[in-house]
Amino acid sequence: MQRPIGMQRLKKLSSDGVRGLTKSLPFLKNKEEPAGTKAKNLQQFFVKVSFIMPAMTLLILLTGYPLFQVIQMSFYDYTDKANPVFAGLANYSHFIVDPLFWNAVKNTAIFTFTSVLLGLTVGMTFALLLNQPINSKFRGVFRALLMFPWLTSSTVVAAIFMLMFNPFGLINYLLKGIGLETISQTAWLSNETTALFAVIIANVWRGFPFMMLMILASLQTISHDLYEAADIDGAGFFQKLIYITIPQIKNIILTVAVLEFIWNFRSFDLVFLMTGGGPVNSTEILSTYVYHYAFRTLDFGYASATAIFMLIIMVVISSFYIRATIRKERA
Amino acid sequence: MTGRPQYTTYAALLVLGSIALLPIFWMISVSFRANTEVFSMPLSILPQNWTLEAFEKVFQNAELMRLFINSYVIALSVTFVCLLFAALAGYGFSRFKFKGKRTAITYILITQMFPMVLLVIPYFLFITRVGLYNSYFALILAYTSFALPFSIMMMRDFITTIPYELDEAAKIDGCGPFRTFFHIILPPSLPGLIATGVYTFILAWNEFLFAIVLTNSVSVRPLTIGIGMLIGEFTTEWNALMALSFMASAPLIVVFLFVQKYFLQGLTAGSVK
Repeated sequence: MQRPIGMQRLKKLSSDGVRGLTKSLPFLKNKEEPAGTKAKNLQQFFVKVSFIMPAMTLLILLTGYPLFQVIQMSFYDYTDKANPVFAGLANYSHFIVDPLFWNAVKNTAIFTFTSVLLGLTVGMTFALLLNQPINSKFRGVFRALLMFPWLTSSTVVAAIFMLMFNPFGLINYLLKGIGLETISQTAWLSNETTALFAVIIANVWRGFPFMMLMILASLQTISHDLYEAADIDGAGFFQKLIYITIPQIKNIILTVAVLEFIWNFRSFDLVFLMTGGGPVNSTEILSTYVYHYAFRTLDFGYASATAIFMLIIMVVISSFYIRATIRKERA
Repeated sequence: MTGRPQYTTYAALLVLGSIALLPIFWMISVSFRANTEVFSMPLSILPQNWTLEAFEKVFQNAELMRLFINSYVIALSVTFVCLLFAALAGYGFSRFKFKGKRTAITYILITQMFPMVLLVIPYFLFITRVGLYNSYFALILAYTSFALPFSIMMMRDFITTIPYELDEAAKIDGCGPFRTFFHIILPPSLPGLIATGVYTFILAWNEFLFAIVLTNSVSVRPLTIGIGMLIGEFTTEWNALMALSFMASAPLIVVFLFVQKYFLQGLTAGSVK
């Protein structure tokens, strides 16, 4: 190692010298970078990589190593906590046949897709409204206000919605007010058929501002000429929406939908706090299922195997997003 | 302003906006009433008797106050660590081509998909083994693991919007890459740094799962746990719970309002072309 470093220093010194010279004598500039010698290339590589190395090292220590551990643990039997025994694929074959696991998969799917769809609809509606030619002060204030739900922590969201979904809470009171007497008796969070729906509402409330913001930013980049041309052709609001707006913001919708998919799929806090997976497992999602096995039953092997399953599903479903992002990369 | 005045737009915004903001309004409204008034029918939209009772209850609880300090210590530390590493990495990823770059970016993207419950298992085992259970350090490490990937991508996206000509000019003037970064790129990156910093702060301030698994005492637990415990323990004190929720959300809302412009600009920099 000693020699290359010495050479690099020498090179650097001499090139600094040349650089100093080229400042005053611009015509010498071409000689500044001598034809790419190996040492020079290596030095450049190290300079470039030194910017990302600290972050990447930290990230690999903080995520890569734990991932490796989880994979390893998923092949062990933790019945005897102190001495886990290698168990092959036993953990995997156990959860595959557990009906509660498939119940969690089903709930996760419902939770995720409904949240993303509702969130996109609400976010898009607000984005379209805010994109109308309204007073810019008014728009600014409204956009800021509508970001508030996104800033609140999931514990706060859980607390607020548990209060509002209380049988004697605001939601039932309002439902009664508009004449829905029968529905207004519902104990939303302790009823098997409504609990998941109630949690989804809370989740959408917290998630929509991000989508609104992204879609709005994207809407503002659409050229006005397109709309003027459509106006001349006599297109109505919905025609403009379908033929101009949506095609123009298709990519951002896709990106936001994937991000939301990822965030909702692995979401934990709201379900855990609002229902704890109940009543009768009707809101059990994959992350609460894993949590239960890891920190209640302390069956780390089984929990790891299910967590790996989650990660695989997630990566497979969003693989096209990863590929699209990578393709944009200048390698 | 073109065409006819947008009366329908204003009306729709006001109606839908009120519905969307109702939960926040309700939180504030309940936090200013006595606990007996929380469910007293008919519900009134504003407190009938304004009282600071709930806030007094929160302020007199020394344990809850301690949680606030913990949250600040943890969230600010995570923000500092992430900004430091992410700014450097963001510059590297935005400006240079090198071997392994695609692999590195793919890795960062995949880490963003890690389910928290997946990471929390090995973290729990590791942290207890090395004796860091119930420490600030444990939470700072854990939060960095999921905040750093986002921070790197945000900084990279932001720095990419800074014209490359600046780098070239600096190079011609004889700046090395490190001087270019510190003197030429960092100053115009300020909005990006603010956006990334605020985002990281929000993520760390709001985290719940790691906090409940890796800590067990008031001396290090963050505020989210305090709220979570109030939910679990005595659900009857709704006014205190709402007051605490209000106080927990206020810092983020204030920070957001102050740096809104930069924050929105930084958040949307990468994804909107």
